Amino acid sequence: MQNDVILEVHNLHITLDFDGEDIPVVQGIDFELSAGKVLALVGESGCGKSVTSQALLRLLPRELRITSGQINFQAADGQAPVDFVSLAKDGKKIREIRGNQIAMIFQEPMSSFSVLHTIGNQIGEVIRLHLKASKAEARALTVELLDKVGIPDPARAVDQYPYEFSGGMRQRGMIAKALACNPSVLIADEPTTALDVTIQAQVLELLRRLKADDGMSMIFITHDLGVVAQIADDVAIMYMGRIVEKGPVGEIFGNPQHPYTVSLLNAIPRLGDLSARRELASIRGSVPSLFERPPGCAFHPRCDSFMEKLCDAQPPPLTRLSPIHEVRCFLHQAAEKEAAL
Amino acid sequence: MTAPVQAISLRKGRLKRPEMATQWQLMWWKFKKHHMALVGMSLLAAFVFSAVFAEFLSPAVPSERNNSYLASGPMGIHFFDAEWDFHARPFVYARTTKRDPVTLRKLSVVDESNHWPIEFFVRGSTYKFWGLFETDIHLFGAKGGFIHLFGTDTLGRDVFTRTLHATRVSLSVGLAGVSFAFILGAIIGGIAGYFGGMIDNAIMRLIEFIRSVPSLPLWLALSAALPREWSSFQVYLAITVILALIGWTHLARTVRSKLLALREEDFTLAARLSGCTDMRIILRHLLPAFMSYMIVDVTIAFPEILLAETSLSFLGLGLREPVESWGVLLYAAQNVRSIAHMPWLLIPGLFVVFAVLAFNFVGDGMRDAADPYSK
Amino acid sequence: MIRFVINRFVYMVLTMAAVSVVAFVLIQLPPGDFADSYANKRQQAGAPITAEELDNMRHQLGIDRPWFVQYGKWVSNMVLEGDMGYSWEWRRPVTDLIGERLPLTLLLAFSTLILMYVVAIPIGIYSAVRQYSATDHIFSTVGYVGLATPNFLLALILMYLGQRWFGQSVGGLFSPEYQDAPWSWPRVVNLMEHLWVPVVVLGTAGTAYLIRTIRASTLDELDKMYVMAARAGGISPMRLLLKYPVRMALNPIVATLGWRLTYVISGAPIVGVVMSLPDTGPLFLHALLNQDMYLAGGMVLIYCAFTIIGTFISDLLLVLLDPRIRMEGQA
Repeated sequence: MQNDVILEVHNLHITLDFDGEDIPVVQGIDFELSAGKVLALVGESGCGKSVTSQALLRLLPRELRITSGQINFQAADGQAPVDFVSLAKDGKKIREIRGNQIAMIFQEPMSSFSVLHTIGNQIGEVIRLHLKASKAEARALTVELLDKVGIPDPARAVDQYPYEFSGGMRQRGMIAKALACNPSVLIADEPTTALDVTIQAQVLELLRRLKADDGMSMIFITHDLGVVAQIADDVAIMYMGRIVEKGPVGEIFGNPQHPYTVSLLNAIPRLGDLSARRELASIRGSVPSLFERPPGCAFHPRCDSFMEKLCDAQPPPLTRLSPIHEVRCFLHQAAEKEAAL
Repeated sequence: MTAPVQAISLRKGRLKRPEMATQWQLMWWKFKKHHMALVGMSLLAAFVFSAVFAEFLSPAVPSERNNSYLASGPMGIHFFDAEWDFHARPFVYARTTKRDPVTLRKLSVVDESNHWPIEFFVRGSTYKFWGLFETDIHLFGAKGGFIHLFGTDTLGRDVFTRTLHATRVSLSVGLAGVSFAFILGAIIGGIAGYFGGMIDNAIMRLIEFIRSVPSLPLWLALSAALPREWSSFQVYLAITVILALIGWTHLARTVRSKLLALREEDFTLAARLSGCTDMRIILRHLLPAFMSYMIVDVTIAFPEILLAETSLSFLGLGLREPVESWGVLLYAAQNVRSIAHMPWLLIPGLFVVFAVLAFNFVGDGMRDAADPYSK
Repeated sequence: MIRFVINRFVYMVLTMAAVSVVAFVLIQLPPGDFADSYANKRQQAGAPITAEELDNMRHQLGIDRPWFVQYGKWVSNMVLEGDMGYSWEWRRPVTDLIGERLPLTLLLAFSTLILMYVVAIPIGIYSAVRQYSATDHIFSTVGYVGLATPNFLLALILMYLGQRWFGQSVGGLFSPEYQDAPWSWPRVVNLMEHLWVPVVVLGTAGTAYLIRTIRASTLDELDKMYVMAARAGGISPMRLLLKYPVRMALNPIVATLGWRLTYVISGAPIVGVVMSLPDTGPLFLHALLNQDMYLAGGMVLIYCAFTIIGTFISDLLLVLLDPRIRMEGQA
């Protein structure tokens, strides 16, 4: 592993057990997360990004299984990296990392807390488990955390139940829980999707502050390129279980190479669209179901640059356009060849 | 929805090409996956078959008394005789009667030297098939003697024959009760769900009330209140009505909750905007949308009503002879002494168990199938 | 919370009132009245009574008054004096008859209820956690059969087996020598030795049903987002299971406690009859068969009263378990 890389995913495959039939969901993805950086995994729903995020901590539900690949985590400098794939699913080792060194927040703040226990109870539980704190210590720390994430009157909030919290407050509570043990990596699975726009902005601001102040590394799962622009350092665009393009956020937004990335960027509505009477751009067709994965490049039925007998014959290989920009598309392989001639 | 959840609901729906299938096709695909439901379905088919052809399938007629085989046990069908010689045609051992020297009661004794071979399409007692035409052909019988697969009762009546005939009555009571409950439930639930407001509130309170009352004592009390001089057919009708009166609540709830959900749907609004009458909206648009749920509820209600009828008749408060249901037959097995001497009188009880099992299996399969996206 | 409790209490009282009307209707339902059947009996005995005597009797009994007057009298007697009417069959007050036998019915019902929960909760949770395991399949098979077997049939089979293998009757609640003995420790032991049979009979179907419910609700909870969120915090599987899904699944179980009690009370009479227990079952059946309607109506009323009170108690328990209800009206 490279020096500043803290989490590295290598050739990860995940399949869905469909009554004994194995349906590939994630097909060999690679990415690295550097310390202090934010990596965004972007894609439409169903592209496998949430599954990937859950796989990182071995949280996949029974039906989904990692079939091959590595998830290497560098706990601290100088220590040997741990491969999560080789650990037992709910074993002691992975449990010591969950919530402690790597924490996670989820898409639906409404259902991420148990309704029958107080917020303080559920956050304190993590603190007491990993920091071996007493009940009182855990409670004090919880109040501190709630304050840090911007919950008003934290001393009261700690004894409240989730249903007394608004959606935005719950997501803050979730973030407080994730921060409890001061993790080095935060995995955020669409943390703002279920929130109102104003609340979204507040939560994003909170996450950005955490990154700036605490130097926390994050994997940020989203389908919203606007959010990506605000928070991410690097972007990986996913389509049907594969990463189709990957690079720093400026590079991807400024110089998109994969037709899918280009369409995604075009589909973002811009101020002035309305006055210019431009129609909202959208991507032709829709994401096929997992059972009807198109052969070759999965995007080819929706692609404007579709090349017959090439794109639908085999998956395109990875092409390195520059040391920081990778793309998986035959257009660029052809260009590369021409350049070589 | 997160991706895995989506994937799982896809998996559970088993939808390869969902857009191509009708609702019923989807349900059938899902139902087929449920092996126990298919087993239950076959079992039910067998029950229905024996109920329909009861007279033909049984070797005797229900009221027929065999005075030389009173209160005696099931007769085994044999392929091998006492010397272990194989017989291609199965047989039962012959029976002779003796008198017990002490009690002077008639006893039936197995006579292993004599065989009564089993033959098919034999002539026996005459009966009127479905009350339409007279015939004396029975599916099987023992040549030269008699055959009692499930033994006989104290009057020498064939338990097998009576059980088959009782199947018809028990299933028909269930069917009638369920149909009546279905109509009541659909109408009352429909009114509650469609009109909402005060009416809905009142009906829901009523349902809640009925459900909070222990059903069996109420059933018992209602049947006990039936006039003694009523004919057995009148009692039969009254019992189905009583069973339905208490059984409709579940259906009504389903109908109501589905209606409440559906009337908020866009297609209901669309239908209303295009000028459909309430009745037309209910019949053409809403009813098909929750028909599947109602079928599920009916499958679940059936065994309940079946069990209730059996219990009532068993206690002597339900159907009465000469109408015979499984419960009526079990009435004869009410005390320990008769079971100790004639355990085969409990056989109709096994029929009850299997019928309820079959319905429960089918009900489970249907419940899964009714909602293709459910678990 | 106070509002919720008052609400449920008022509801309970209203339900009781409704049940009393139903019971009264049942009493009035059979054609003819006590005077008629009394006259009939006298007729059969060869000593017919005159029409005048009959009218006198009607007047004395109050059955010539309109029904609402009779109902009012019945209810007020019951509430004010604990008088539920007179059983012509037994020639004793209904209250005495029921009072003698009710404790055993309650003992039976509550023992059954306890057994059901003690057996069903662990099995249900285990089956959910080990979904599709061999044990899960075995339990669900047993459950299916248990659910499909009518109580009385199970009782008959147990009695037959008892007779067959132990040569003794498993009916009744006491051995003959303790039948009429005064209460003593050996008599209690003897009662316990007999009690388990009817308890098993009465509880089997309900236990099977409960196992299914608990299994399903635990499975439901296991799939929820907050379980994954808790796992992501590093909680161990066992602790997580007990703290969240099991705790959550207990809510519907407690909420339906009243229904379970309804169910047990509903099955009790028939088991009592079949196993000839000295509880209210045989008394009830006898009253029904003889159209001794004051006794029968009184029994229906008592059976309903217990389930209604049971429902009220389960509502109260739910308040303690679910913070959402507890907080209602306080915010």
